[in-house]
Amino acid sequence: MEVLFDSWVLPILRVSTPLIFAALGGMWCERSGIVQIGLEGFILVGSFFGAVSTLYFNNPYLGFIIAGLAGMALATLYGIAVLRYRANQIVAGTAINLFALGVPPFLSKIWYDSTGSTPPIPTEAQFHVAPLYLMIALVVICHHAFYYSKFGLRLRFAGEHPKALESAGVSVGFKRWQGVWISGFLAGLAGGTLSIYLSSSFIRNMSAGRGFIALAAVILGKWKPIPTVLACLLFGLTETIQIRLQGVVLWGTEPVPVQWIQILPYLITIVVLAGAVGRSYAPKGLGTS
Amino acid sequence: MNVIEFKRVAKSFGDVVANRDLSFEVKAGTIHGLIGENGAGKSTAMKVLFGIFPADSGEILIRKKPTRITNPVQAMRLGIGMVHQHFMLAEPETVLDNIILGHEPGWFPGLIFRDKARKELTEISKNYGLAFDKWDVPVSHLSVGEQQRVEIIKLLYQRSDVLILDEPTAVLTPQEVKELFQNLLRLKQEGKTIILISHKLKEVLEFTDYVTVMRRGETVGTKVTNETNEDELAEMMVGRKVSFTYQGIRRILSDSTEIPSILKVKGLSFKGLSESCVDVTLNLRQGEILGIGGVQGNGQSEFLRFLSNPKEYFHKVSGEYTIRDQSVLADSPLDLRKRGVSLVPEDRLAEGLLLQQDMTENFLLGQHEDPRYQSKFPGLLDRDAARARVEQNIKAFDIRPPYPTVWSGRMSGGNQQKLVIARALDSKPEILFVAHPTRGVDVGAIELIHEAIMNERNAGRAIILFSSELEELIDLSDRIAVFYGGRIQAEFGRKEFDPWKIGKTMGGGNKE
Repeated sequence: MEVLFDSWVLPILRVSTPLIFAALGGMWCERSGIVQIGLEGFILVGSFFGAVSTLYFNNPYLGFIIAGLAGMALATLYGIAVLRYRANQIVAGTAINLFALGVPPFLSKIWYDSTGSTPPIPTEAQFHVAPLYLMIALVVICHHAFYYSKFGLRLRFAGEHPKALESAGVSVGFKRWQGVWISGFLAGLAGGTLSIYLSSSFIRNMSAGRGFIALAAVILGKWKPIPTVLACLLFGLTETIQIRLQGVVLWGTEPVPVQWIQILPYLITIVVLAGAVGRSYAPKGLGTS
Repeated sequence: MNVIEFKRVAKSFGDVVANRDLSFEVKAGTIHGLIGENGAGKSTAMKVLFGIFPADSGEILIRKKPTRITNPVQAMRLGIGMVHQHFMLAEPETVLDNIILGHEPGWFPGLIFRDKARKELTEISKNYGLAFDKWDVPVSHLSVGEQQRVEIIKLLYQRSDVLILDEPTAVLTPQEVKELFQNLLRLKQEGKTIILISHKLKEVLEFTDYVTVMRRGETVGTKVTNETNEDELAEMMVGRKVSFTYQGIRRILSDSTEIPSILKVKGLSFKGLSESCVDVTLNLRQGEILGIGGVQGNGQSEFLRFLSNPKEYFHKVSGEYTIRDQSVLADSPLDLRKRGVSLVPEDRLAEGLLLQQDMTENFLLGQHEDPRYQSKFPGLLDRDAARARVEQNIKAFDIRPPYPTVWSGRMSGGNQQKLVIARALDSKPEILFVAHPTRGVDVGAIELIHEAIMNERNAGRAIILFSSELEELIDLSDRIAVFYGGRIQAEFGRKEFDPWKIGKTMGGGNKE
């Protein structure tokens, strides 16, 4: 039992944590009616600023919050583009991702004279289990806020039928801003878990597509909180398998090449999404601002 | 007492004058009809009242007080609510959530007290005799009539006492219409004021207390409903005398069954994207109009798509579809055209016209292989020939503005429709599929379009007419087939035409 927990349950939960943070953020944003492919960028700046501020303050909690705020700041930029100036959401999201790709190398050159990574965070300033508990709390809060609060109800209508919300006297634009900010903050936190919790420094392009996998989880989870979390756990499982299979001799005498195994999570994403297409219904007002 | 009073209200958008001079008053506790043709400015008038556009000049008095309404929320606080033509309901969400949106009981960031809301709503529906209790069902599971009732309950929940209904009967079966008006009369008894926007004179005459007629952005006058009649109102609406039914045009061919069928559909079944067809069997003879009726979403649209493009359905369809006893199941729209089939599509904006192209260009759509419009050089089109033909049609159909170079997007709905119909008739088709020919078209154009269709029938063409307006079907058709749940629920010969009976089958009832 304990072996099972230590070698499977805990690793799966650990690697799923950043996905769950980012995916729940993405879900709020998309349900408010704004396409969010910028998660990847938010995660990246979150993980960088999380690592930097943890190193500076020697306090992971402070670093974690700053990671979230960094993501939120970048999300504000995205919000200005798509909400204020009605830019195309896919193009603006892509621009945000490309922009985020360049920020850490630039600043790390100035601050640490390195090419896109930070010095290691000392053990006593790293997270050990806290993000896991925070993640579980977040899931519970999101589920309740989504279905049982005024905020959740109104945000859902902003994405599903903005005119109905407008005619009920609630500002659609502000709800969408809130959706964008939540996605920025939570994806920033996801980045924080990557650099302060799952590893001990920021390394170049650390997000490695997790933002897109999180978005895939939102779609697979049909834009609903609990199914989205379950989809994240599925992707967490494939990543865990991938880690466990490295260097294992499955047949013959040679281990399976590591590159093949690393494909696994992405391959499963494609297969699962292709299988789910047609049964997944996006919010009606998505991308229509 | 007057709840609402318009005094010389005007509203224009740039150079376009939507409302020139609106003056009328609505008495509390009455049902007040507001009628006029499409484009007469009814909707703009109500949007001004609702605070969506501010008025340029003039004055609106609410309960005798001059009030400047600048946004819908303010209108709502003043107790004015509106049921829009397109419902403001999110389909996947529950009825309850749709109703309480924006007025949820509970403290602000906190949780919603759904039980409290449910209790209050049950009370409202009981007090107003609305017979509704499906609070926790997603809106998508409700019929259109039920959705409309939800919209009305929503207004009552928001404590509106002036209810504006924009074309509320356009999407209902006759049974549902009756139920709606019973509910409205009950609301009137309870002291609510109802403004009914409509272009259907009959229902306005039957259910309102007063009626205000609008024409070209002006109020022509307000009448006590009991003291007026259909002809007078129609004349006020159009500004000249109008004939309403097309019995004036003789039906030349008899209802003889001896003429063989030119188009046959037998045992047709397939599953479409949103609707399906189940075991549909139809025959169409030359010189007849076969009307296809039914409440929207019961398979008619998909059936039309199949008829006009069978190739798209080739792999998922079972049954037969023949024209002159030849199977056309593998035909593309162009193949069908070569067999003499022509189409007036359901939605002229989405499927009928390129809005940013001129009339000539639009006229050539689908006719690009017609020998008449080929230039001497192979592969090129003869634009002059096309333009000349368009000019003839402009005269024949009185299309305005009368220039072949006008963008079709700049034309009014009625003129766009005339262009689409002229195009469909241009190739002298033997078989004609016509869908919703008068949707969103004003009375004058309706007359002309109906006449054109009738003339085609009398010239021996075989016509299938899809329409959601029962009156139109009854006026024009020789037979009517009613779709329900993808099946043909019933078929009526001309002698059996009875709106009530047909309406019953539209709602799923049996013919007898």
